[in-house]
Amino acid sequence: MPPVNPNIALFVTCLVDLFRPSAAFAAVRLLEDAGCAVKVPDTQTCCGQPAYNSGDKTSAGRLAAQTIRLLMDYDYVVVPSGSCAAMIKRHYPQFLAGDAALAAQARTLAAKTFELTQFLHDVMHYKPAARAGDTLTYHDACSGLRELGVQAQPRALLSGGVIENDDGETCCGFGGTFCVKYTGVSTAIADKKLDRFSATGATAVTGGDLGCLMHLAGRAARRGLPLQFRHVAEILAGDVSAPAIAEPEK
Amino acid sequence: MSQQRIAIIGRIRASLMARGAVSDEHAAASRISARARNLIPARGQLQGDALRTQFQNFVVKTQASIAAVATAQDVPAAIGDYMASGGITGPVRLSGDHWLATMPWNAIAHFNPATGAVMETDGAGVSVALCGIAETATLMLTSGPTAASGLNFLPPTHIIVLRAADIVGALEDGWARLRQAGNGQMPRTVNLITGPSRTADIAQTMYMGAHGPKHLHVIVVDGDE
Amino acid sequence: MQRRPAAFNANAAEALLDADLQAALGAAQAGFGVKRRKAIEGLPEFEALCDQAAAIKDHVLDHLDVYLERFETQVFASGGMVHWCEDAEQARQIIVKLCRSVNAKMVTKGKSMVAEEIGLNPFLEANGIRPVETDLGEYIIQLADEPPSHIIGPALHKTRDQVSDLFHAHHRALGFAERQTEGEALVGEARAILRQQYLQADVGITGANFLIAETGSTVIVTNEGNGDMTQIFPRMHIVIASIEKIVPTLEDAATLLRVLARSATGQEMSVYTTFSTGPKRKADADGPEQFHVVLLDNGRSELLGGNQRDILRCIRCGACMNNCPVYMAAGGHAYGATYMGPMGSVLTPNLTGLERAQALPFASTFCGKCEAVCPMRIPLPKLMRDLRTEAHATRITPVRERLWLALWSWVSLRPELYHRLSGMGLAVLKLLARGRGRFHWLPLAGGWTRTRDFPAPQGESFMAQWARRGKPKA
Repeated sequence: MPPVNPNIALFVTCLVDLFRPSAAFAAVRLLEDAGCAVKVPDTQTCCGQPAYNSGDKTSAGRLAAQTIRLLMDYDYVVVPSGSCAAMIKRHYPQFLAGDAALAAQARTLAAKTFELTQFLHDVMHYKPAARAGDTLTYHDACSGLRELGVQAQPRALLSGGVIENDDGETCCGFGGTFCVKYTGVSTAIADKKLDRFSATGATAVTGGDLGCLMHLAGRAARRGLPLQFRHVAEILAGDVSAPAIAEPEK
Repeated sequence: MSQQRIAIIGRIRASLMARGAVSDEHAAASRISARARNLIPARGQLQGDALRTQFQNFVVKTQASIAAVATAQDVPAAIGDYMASGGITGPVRLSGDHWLATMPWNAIAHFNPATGAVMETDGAGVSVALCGIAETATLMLTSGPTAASGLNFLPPTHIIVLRAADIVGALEDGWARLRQAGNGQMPRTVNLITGPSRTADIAQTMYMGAHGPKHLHVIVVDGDE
Repeated sequence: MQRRPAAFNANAAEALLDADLQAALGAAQAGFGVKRRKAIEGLPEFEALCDQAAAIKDHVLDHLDVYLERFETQVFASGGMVHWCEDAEQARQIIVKLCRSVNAKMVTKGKSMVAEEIGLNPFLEANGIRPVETDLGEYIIQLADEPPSHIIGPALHKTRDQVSDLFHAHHRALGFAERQTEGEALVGEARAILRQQYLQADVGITGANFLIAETGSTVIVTNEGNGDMTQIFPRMHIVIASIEKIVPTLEDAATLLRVLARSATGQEMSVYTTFSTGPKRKADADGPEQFHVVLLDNGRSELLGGNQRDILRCIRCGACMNNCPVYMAAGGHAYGATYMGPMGSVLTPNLTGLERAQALPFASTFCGKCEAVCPMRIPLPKLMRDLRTEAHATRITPVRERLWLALWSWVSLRPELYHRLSGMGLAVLKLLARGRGRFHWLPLAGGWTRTRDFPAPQGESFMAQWARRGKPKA
């Protein structure tokens, strides 16, 4: 039985906040439609993943403490990003395990933090409205896939189905700061992924992680590929009014 | 006791201590003497007909061939048939195995079967396996006074003769046989052979007969001597 | 290609433009993926076996000194000798000394990454001893004078045409006038040439996948049979192996063998798995008269005491690099080190120093595929992250990067400032974008815009819009 009118904190994530508010508004709509009371804690910033993956454990710890304090008091925390959700759900408890003050809180927060599609499907048993539109292929971002097991959920939610692309479990080459430190390799990996998207015949690509989508959309634009990239929240909410990622305004 | 040995052992102990641990000679000694078996897959625990079928099927899967004969006396003729049908020429180099010596090799005199040192010109080698492991279709061959390891590798065709009763389920069963046969002493060489030699080192394409034999044929002897 | 990790980006750039290499990598990736999947599907107990294999290795590491001592005792008991070497130099010296003791002029070699690690071949040559690689892949790269690009398939980066060129150039002098182009013929030519080397070699040198403490045996795993030909015929058999290769019993070896071949090439079992114990027995029909095991430390005893210890469980199957998107784009030579791919990115800094090799643990997207396929349950992304943490803490990462990240973190810890600054930044970007939706170029974003357009923001941030709509904030 899904929870009744749960009190949700939306942790919007820096990329969505800054570059794709339409995905966040879509997420709010979906969550409210699913019967949640959505709150947006107004002092949220970054979960600390860039610092953590770059080896700055100190800053990561401080940002984790800030984030934990911010999100402690809700029934659930929902995140429209697999990698940020995994940061809170998997990595906070691990790297704060030795911190007397935060360890228990990190575990508590982890237990109630979910990636968006995982929450909608597994917890709220949500059934979105039927979707019409472009033939769609799905990009499974690595963190969501391997750290959180998000794979079946978006597909279950995307009525009308998706066309699977080959080697779907292979990375797109984004990897956070990797994409600018190792530009050539990152781009070569993206090209392989884009070619597999194109091979499906799909006209649109969606996924749960904006970093991957921005990296892929940016490369597709540079190559002139006719693929439209949107966050899965936008597709599920039926909101394609905003231009696709990296697309010009009409 | 070399200086280097002392230094290395010392550093290992220091490293273990740095993590709050101390190595335990007892723990190691008991593990070694216990020789406990770990998980053995179901496929390695077959018996009877299932065991034999598994072995046969997998021998073929490894690109070797297999034939069965009723008694040891039928082995030379079976080898002759195999070589004739495959267009394989002699001479045939027999290992010094005593069991092989009891077989009627004049039945294939035209293939020049002989014991003795392996020669570059030998067309086929014949060995006896200590056992055959059904789980992976692996043959266990050991070195010894009557078994030159070189025979397993030099001739382009290798024929391994195996008693049906020596087909066992898993490698662990093979170890048990080996310990029994050697009275607890290891031979110089234990060759676990699974199919003929091959390589995929040129453009990821498989080619047989890289350095070892190109053809491997297994003859299972069902009956007693 | 430069032989140093710091050149990773430059090496990778070269690799990405190499059409032959990219074709070879594509073929390898497709092949490895399919084969491993099939092999695992054929064995329902695979994951449980991996757990056991990892536990066996952890146990060994906990008692490494005792097991090594036991191994040595058993080697002595079977008539062999053990030589302990703290570093590469000592190992090279002892091997040359052993070769000289039998007046060796030419030695055959089975594939050994440890021999590569200590730079054995150039040292042998400098001392008047000719090493002949017998593994076909190693033979190919020896002719090409290149290092291995993969721990299982050293010539993975070579196309068949390139091999044909190499053989034609080098085999003419040996009497093979006609150029071969078909794979089978090329293999046949190598086989004919190496056959003579096996029989004429004074010494055979092999590596070891495992060292068995119970029996004092060294284990090699090949598909070609070259490692066997290398050790049967010469007077002396030298095994070069690193200290963490120890396995307690023959039963434990069986478990590890079950996960090794499957993870490496998708085979149930490699064609030749050979257990060598001491020199030939007195009455044996053949075999080497002398058996020497050269045990190499080279930083592993220290590794054992730190937070990177898990990498010592590695059995060199290569599954991590077969499944790594970075390795499969840049190839093995890009890493500029003996060990490449994910396991190489962890092992290399630990063996050669983080400062020199820091490019490697950062050359990962942390996609996690390596960890998912590692049969020894090595948490490779975590180990790479720990190396990044050490690099950051010791300030060996580039200053500019540290400053930008520090700035981001600093601002993120001040939400009001974060939202004010981001508001300003977004306004500027939106203006500059002029409705085109993306930037072909942005100052300070060259790493991105060199190959990708940068998506323009939609306008105000979500948080700013949300606040303006007067919705309840918390």
